[in-house]
Amino acid sequence: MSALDFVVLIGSMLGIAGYGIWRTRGQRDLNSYLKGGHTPWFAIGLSVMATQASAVTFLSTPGQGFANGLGFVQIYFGVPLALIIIAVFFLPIFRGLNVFTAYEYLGKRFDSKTRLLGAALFLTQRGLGAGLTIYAPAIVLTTVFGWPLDLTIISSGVLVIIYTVAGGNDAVTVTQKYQLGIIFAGMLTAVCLLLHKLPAGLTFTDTLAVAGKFQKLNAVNFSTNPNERYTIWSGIIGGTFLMLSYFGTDQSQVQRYLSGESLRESRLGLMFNAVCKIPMQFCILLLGVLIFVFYQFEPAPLFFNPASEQHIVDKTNSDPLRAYETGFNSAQTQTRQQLENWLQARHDGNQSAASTALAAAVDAHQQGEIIRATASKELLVYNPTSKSNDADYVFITFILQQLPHGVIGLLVAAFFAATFSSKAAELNALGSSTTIDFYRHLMRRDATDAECLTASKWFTIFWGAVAIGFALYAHLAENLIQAVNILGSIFYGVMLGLFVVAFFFRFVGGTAVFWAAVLAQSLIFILFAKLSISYLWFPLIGCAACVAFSCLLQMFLGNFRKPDKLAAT
Amino acid sequence: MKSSESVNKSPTGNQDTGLPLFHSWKGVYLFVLASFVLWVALLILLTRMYS
Repeated sequence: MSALDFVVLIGSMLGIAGYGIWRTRGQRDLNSYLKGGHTPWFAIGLSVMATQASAVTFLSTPGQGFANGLGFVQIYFGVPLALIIIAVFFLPIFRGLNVFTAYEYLGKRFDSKTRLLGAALFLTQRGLGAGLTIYAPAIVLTTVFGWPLDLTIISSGVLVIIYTVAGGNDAVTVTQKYQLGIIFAGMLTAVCLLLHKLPAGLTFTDTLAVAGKFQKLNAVNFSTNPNERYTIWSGIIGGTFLMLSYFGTDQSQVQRYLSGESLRESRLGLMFNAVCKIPMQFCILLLGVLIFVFYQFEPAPLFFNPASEQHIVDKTNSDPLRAYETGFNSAQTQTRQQLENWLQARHDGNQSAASTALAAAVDAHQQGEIIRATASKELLVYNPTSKSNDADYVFITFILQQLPHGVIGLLVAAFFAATFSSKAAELNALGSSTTIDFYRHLMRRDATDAECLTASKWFTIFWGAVAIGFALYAHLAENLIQAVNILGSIFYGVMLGLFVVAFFFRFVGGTAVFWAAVLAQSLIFILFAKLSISYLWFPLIGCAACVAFSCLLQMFLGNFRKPDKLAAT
Repeated sequence: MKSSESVNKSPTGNQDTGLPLFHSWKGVYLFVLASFVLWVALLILLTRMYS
């Protein structure tokens, strides 16, 4: 990075942080710190979007598009339906009871132990998930500066903790729209420059034709095989339950839309996301696909992870890894030559020669991919701590090697903005839930607002430390964006089940739903270990199991009388 | 704020949304579903055209 990049990076980050501190100056009561102020719908919409779209989204999703194409977009097919259900059923109840956390509602509807169970499930999965989101900027820092990964994880984690503790929920909300502005400006610039850097004569239609031939544009898969990870069915059915759980029961999201000035503002904020989420994720994945096409015409490294690449460079010529690199480069050259032949034949109108050349290019590319996969396994033998899947490094490598100075600074700033916006929201929610659902509910029932505010800051620091600890092991994840969703899928189904029983099965009481949730979560752990079905089905299974077990247990336990204070809700 | 809450209590919400084109919540939800169907259709078309 040059001096210009550092000016852009530091200027944008300090500007946003300073603005957040200035806008929220003097707002230091518990309500504004945890819930925020009267936020308009557009700011809520951006805040909900920014909370979900962490640096993992902008760093790892293009890598997913590069490696596997557009199929990942199907996971978001559940978003519109899920957000409509939340706007119609969940939102009026949460707002009507004026709760700080979603789990307070479980306490009012059922009992204390069910509230604590819901909060504990949230804290466990979100605390671990926060580790994955902190890992993404560490990749950037390691790639940019060559610093040790552990050091960058700890330093970026500490920075986010300071930012979150200093600002609270209000600062998170007021700065997220500007952070998103930097993110979108950075991504749009990257797309424009990428299109400009594609070979002369390669039109956008040609680019799509290449991507399609290499199976990167298979956005929708109609397979009914449950073991296939991303299909239209797992996306619409499983994805709806995953997104319903995430947006409806995860405090990091609930806290965002409860900050709305009214029910109308909260609803419109959610509908904004319901419309924008699929096109946004599609564009980020398409960016990865375009980078894939770019690297068919330009030399690509055997490994995008610089640590892996350096390992090969450090070895002597007799090392088998060096031989893999030579073979990979040869396959790449063949691919490039055949694609140039195809482009020429296509523009000459020679369909037969074009088809032959494109088929030869695909064959040569597949040879290269086989070499890369074998070398990746071999690398693990030489260096067991290396990351076997380096798709997460694709986008940052492209940025650093291909984009001009100034733009590099803008995109690195975008990754940090994404980390700060999403991580701060997560840590704020973790701190809020621990304070409200555990500290004030269990430990200090007579705690004043000032004491709760102090406790919330300490709990935020505690969860930040947990996230850093987990991030130190995040390199074991296959691909970050998938790992975040897999982790959520394990816990979200049962969390959703608790709320579905609360809303729609009025005859079920606290004891029945509590033990049903424990049973259902145990079942999910077993199924996750034993089955190889797509993880998108687990939220559906978890929710269905929790509801079914609750009804059965309640029938066994006998009639439950609903508390009078909730009779009207 | 309270009056706004009570006005919007209806789950499906037939109250005014304050939007220029969609005056009921049902209209907003239908628009969201229609945009979803349109996106899926376009993605299917893209898949069919280039695979």
